[in-house]
Amino acid sequence: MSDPKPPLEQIPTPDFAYVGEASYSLESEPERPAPHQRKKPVFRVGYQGKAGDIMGLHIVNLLLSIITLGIYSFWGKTRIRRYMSSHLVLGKDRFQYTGTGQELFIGWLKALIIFAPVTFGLAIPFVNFFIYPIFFGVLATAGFLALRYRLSRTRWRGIGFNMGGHAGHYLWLSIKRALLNFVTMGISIPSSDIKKWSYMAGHMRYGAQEFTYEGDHKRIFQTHIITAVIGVGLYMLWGFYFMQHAASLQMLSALEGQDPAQVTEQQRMQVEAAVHTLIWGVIIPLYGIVGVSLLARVWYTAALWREKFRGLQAGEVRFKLDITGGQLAWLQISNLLIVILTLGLASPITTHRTLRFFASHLRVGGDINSLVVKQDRVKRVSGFGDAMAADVGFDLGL
Amino acid sequence: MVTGASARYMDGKTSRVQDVTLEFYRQGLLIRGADGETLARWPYASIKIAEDWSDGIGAILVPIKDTGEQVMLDQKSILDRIMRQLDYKHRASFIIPITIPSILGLTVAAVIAALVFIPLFGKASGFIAYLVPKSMEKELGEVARSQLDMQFDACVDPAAEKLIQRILERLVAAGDQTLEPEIYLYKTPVANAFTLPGEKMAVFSGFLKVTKNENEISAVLAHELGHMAYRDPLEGFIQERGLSAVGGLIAGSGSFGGVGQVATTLHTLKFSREKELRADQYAIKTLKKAGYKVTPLADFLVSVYASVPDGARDLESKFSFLSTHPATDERIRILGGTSPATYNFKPSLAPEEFKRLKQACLFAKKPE
Repeated sequence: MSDPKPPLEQIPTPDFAYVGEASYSLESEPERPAPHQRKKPVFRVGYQGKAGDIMGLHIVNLLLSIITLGIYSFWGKTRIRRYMSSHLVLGKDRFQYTGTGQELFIGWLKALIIFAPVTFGLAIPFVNFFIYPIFFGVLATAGFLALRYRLSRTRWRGIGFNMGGHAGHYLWLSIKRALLNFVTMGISIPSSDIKKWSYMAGHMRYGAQEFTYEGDHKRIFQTHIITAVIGVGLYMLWGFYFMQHAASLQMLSALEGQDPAQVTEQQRMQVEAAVHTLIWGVIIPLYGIVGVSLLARVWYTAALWREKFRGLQAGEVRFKLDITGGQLAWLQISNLLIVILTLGLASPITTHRTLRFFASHLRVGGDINSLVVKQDRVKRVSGFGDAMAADVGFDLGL
Repeated sequence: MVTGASARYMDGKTSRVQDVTLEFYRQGLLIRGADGETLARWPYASIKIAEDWSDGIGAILVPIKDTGEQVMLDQKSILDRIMRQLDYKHRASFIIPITIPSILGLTVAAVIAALVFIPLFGKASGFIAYLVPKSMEKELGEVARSQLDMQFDACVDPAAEKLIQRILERLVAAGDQTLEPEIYLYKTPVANAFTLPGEKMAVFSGFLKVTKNENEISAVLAHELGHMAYRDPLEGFIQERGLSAVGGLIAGSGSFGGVGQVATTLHTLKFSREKELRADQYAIKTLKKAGYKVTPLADFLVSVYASVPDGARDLESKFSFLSTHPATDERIRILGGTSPATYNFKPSLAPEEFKRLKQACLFAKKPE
């Protein structure tokens, strides 16, 4: 039986395809060939936001948040989301974000009622043993809840996106996959990541048009293993080095509580040597290893993102995100440098760059101009999920 | 009636995009389809700008009452013409524009707000702390103590506790007589003593070990009783939580979150320094009334200060605004300076009892 959906790689890029990032114009669309010869058109998502606008928005947000003791931050967040969404263009048409600051504020108040006791409970020894599962439950569903809220507030061509499914089902799936990842010592991470995305993507809709997802975790397995082995290998080397020098490091606590007047020159030199080993042999290499292993995982993240879009389909429309590990790594490193060199003042620019990066690498294959989708009854989800996600630090960066 | 401009229209029922012509009439817009039929009639009073003008991608007009319909405009002159007819608040997606004058105005307002709100916040925290029932404060203290138990080795040394209690009784009698301090001893070389919510006081064996006389112990305990009398741990908890909530909100907007958090942290530290000075003032009064000398507190600070490496001492004087405590120099000045190593005071402990107290926790067992 032949596959009715050819992979996106096989969709030839037509001559009229997206011309330059700053333009959405399809004026150069050629005459349409006969249906049997017709190639599927490919569109790129354009991001037209300007760094200056973003900085201005963030400065005004900060000032208004100070004036209102932080209350304006919900409206400020909404304003930035609206700016970013409305500067994303597919075809000739802008996306729209219809969420409001009031929704986020009410969602935050609701989340506070749940989260304040959880935070307090986490600080109480023994009680926190029972609270941690709740905390990790919120953490596990944060991405699902945040995405569901934002999709329900996003429109394109006047038609809203939506995501069904149940947070409880997603949580159960996350728990099962986390246990499996633990039992398989991380071997099943790609399969878990794809399964979880599959649940979300399979419940997404654009109006009445359902999305479907058929991912293949085998395509990212090799990258996962290579990048994981790099990290684990480095940690093992570090651990080996640490064990060898553990004895000399014990000198660090040997003088604890001892009268400084009674410390001998030999002891002092031994402590100095231990401090030197601690800094140059333990701490700095550890930071280096953490950095390198995190950097290596960027290649896996890029592969996962590619796979997430490769298997995604809405009717005849398919998607392709052509990012590489190197490009994503450079984006993250340069963003980090921007934040460090400007002491965080240019951090909004990093969000802007990230969105531009993903938008400019996303292609949509299929005739979106003839795609007519009916508006569907959109389930109005509250801003509660979004607020909960923000509470556990999962804010999607927008 | 004037013939208008081309635009794109979506009816909100399907994603079909229709090329339309906008026609202007006195009170609004007529949206006409390709074959001339009227698709919608939008009075100016019922529409707003949903997405502001952006070069290359135009602007979006929608009905104020959300129907899903929208008109996409790609001619700035047409948008300007429509905007002139709209109510001010509907001319842009947001009321406050991103312009230099508005940013300058907001900056001034933000500075004024910070100058007014933050001291007010400090006062309000004190008032809230006053309203918190003592039973609840005790519960908080229990939580804090159980956390401390996990960090340090708690020790049971009834003999040492009794001796500390004797000094405390003398200080309480001279100060706030409603206080009922509970002592918790910890075996650690760290020289410290501090107050927890609910009139609990943690005393580290390292502190007792380095003191040279009973007056040094009483001076530090008097300072801690000051914190207890003003319910500083609870007030500090409320201030810290309140300010971090505001900082978290500002950070949550994604707009220079770090700035918000740093600013709130600096103010938490400022409140903390104010409390230290207040506790010092309480200690001065109480020590004098109890027949102890005040200067040992300054002397003790000097001896702790002397053990700090030179570089760190230099940093402390330059960056005292980053510290929970005021600069040592400033505290010593307030305490009236240091004095010779011997003090003329009436001790509550015999010399052998003081010696025993210095050895607190040495022979004690861990609590069950």
